[in-house]
Amino acid sequence: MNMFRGAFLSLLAGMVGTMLAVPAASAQTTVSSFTLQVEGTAPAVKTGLPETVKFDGPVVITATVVTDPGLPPGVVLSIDGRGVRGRGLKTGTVYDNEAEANLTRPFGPTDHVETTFAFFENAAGSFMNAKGALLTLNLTYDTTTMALTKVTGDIGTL
Amino acid sequence: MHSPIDTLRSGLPDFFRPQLLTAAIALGLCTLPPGAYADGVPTGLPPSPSFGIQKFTQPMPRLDLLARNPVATLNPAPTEQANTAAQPVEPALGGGTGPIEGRPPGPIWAHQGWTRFPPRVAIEATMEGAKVNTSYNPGVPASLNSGINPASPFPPRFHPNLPDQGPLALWTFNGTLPPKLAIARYGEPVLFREHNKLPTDPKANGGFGIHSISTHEHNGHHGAENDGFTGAYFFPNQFYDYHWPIVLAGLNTINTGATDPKASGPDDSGGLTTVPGDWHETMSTHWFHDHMFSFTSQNVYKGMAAMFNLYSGLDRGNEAIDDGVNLGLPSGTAKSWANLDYDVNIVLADKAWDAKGQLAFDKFDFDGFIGDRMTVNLVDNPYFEVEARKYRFRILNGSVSRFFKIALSDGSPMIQIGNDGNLLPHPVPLTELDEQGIAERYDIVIDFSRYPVGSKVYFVNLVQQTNGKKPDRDLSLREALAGSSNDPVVGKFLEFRIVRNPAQPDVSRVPDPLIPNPVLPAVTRSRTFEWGSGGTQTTLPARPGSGSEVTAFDGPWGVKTDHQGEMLAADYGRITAAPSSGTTEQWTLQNGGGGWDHPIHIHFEEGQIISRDGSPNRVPAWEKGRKDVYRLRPGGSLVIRMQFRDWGGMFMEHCHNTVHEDNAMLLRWEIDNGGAPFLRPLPTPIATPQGVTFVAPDDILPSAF
Repeated sequence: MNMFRGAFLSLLAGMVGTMLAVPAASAQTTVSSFTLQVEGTAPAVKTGLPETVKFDGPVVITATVVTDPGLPPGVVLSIDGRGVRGRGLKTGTVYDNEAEANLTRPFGPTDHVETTFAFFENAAGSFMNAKGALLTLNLTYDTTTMALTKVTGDIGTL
Repeated sequence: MHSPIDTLRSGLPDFFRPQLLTAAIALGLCTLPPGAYADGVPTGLPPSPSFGIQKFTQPMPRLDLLARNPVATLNPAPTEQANTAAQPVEPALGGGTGPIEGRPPGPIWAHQGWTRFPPRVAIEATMEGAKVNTSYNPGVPASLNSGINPASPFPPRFHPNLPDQGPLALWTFNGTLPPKLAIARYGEPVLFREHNKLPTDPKANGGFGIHSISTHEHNGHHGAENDGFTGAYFFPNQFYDYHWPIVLAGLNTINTGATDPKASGPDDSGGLTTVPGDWHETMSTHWFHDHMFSFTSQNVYKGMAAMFNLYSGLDRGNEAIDDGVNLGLPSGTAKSWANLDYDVNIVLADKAWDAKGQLAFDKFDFDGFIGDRMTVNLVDNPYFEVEARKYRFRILNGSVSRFFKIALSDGSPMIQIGNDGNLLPHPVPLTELDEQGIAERYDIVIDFSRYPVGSKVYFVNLVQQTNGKKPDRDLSLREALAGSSNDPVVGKFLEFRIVRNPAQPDVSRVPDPLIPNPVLPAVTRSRTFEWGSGGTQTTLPARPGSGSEVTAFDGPWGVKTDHQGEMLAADYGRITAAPSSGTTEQWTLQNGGGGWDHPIHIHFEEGQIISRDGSPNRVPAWEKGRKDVYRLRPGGSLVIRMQFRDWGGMFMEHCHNTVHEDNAMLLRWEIDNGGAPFLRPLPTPIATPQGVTFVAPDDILPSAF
């Protein structure tokens, strides 16, 4: 009886492996990057700062598109906008930011992404008084190569 | 003999293990329960009935402090080696006699450092079925706990509209809610004694969960005998003594004279007790949870989880002391350390319940389990009253398979100060936290002084996830607030009510830097671990004495090591890696699972992420500290470096999507070279109620060395 049960378990276990195993080799990953120059403003009335802040600079977008037989194609979108600088329109105060994000997105020919980020005066300890701004991106993919082909976007507020 | 696998083999439910059940279904030997094929959230179950619950109608309770007692209160007294005094074993567990302590006996599982770090504090808890809490200790007055009267009985329920959870549905520390919080400080070793008071009948489990348990202190720098090894589990009517020495890594090589005041713990009068070790390895926010082989997901979901705050000279839990060491993070001032007034633990966990309001779980879906109700500290969508000042929140993702991404509803910044157990080198201001994987802890500071008294702001979850494989998508704040997602856990889940100005000035600080990273010595060995599907088992079929009873059978998940051989399903009798004590290694963690996501947890040692997807520039600011859970992301990889030192024994690494972990995405590694350039492989413990026996490792991979 015990021998039968052991053989039966092995059979079941083997079947489970066959039924559930998805060969990892069938998954495909495509990585592409795009650098976008963005600009925009964060009005004082929205941020509570004494002045409107004007932003401009590069945002590096890296799209890792993964196709997997067991899943709809998806994208891990890495956004690095730390090169963007803000400047106060009245005082000329310089603002840095922490515009880094990794976003999970479904893959399609186009995507519209909104993500907020924190910005703060370029001074020691100023991160405690950080404010929020909004980065909007419109992405276009080549659905054959899975690569990013075009990105537009700007900076604003919620 | 009564291990889960023995249960499978010896007459109780033959299809006890989920994998086997699935195969049995395919053979037409049994059927799934009604609703198991339902689409949507919760996965595999009907939607949880609402019971008329409205969000934000009950307060979020602070966690319930576990009492700290003199070690002399423990009876019997703790011992260096396991206490093997015999007791009768109930017939449901096989009868006969067995040891009172479930820790494996003998010198290998004796407490390391027992004489050097004798326990000075005892924390004693049970694991048992749900009951009313009549001794709730939130550690703060009711005014700082949303008005909850701790003297009132605290029922085991997720909302006043719901019935109490039954003793078979919910298993928690001390059998009660809220979840528990332990506190400790450097320089004060802890003896955590856990009594297993669960039913002796393994079928008395409310449909899921198992009564044998092993508690992992995540991510303690302790000897392996205290790590909650997945095979070192113990049974009802036994206890297990975990010795947590609470030491800094590097204690044998750095600051050995304990002369650096930054390497310290707080004393009771505002001063410091210095300790040996590297202060850069100071840790802050841990948790402990069940790690039972093949049943971690079910048991943790059932309630076997608690948080653990570690206090140090740097992270004092007193915001007013300014002695050049204390960072002064938001906490409070009344006590010299461990003030919880403005330091709040938060456990996030998605749940589901059945038509009777009892906790429900789908154990048949190996992708993972996603619930449709959001709980915070195990109550449904609560509110929390705050003063208009800075607060620290220690946020734990205590889910089985769900990721979270948190923002404030008005888009205001938060300051992330910690990731996993560790304070970051620098604070990071963020308006949206990163996706928080299962078991990850994010420590953040929110300054509520920006809000007028009487106003409200919310935590919002931006991640839509409808299966256990990975998040579907991250929504914008606008989309998440619109309420259009098909995932009921998207959107607002915790309401902050700014109820008053602080009675005392807020003197807390968030300094920069916080805790810089330790300097890593040169790498002596590199390894690669690929995490994917299609795991196979090379240690089957069972041979007498082979230890094959410690395998997870075939996958579906597995790990391939150093690009060699097959993707292997878990076998805790197999030694996959054997780092040499005193060395630094570089480990590459690769997602071999295509579009899936896997949060990988490495026990015992903290690592630093060197690169993501081949680039150091892809490591975001909030991952530039030390970590113990590493998200791979779909198609992703990362490189980490870790030092292996101070303690030895058998440890693990695994996916912390605990359904993946339970279905074979786990491996054992160990440190035991005794100073020599070779491994002395440790025998594998085989736990039974009648006592723990040992077998030789059933496999040692060539890549181990």
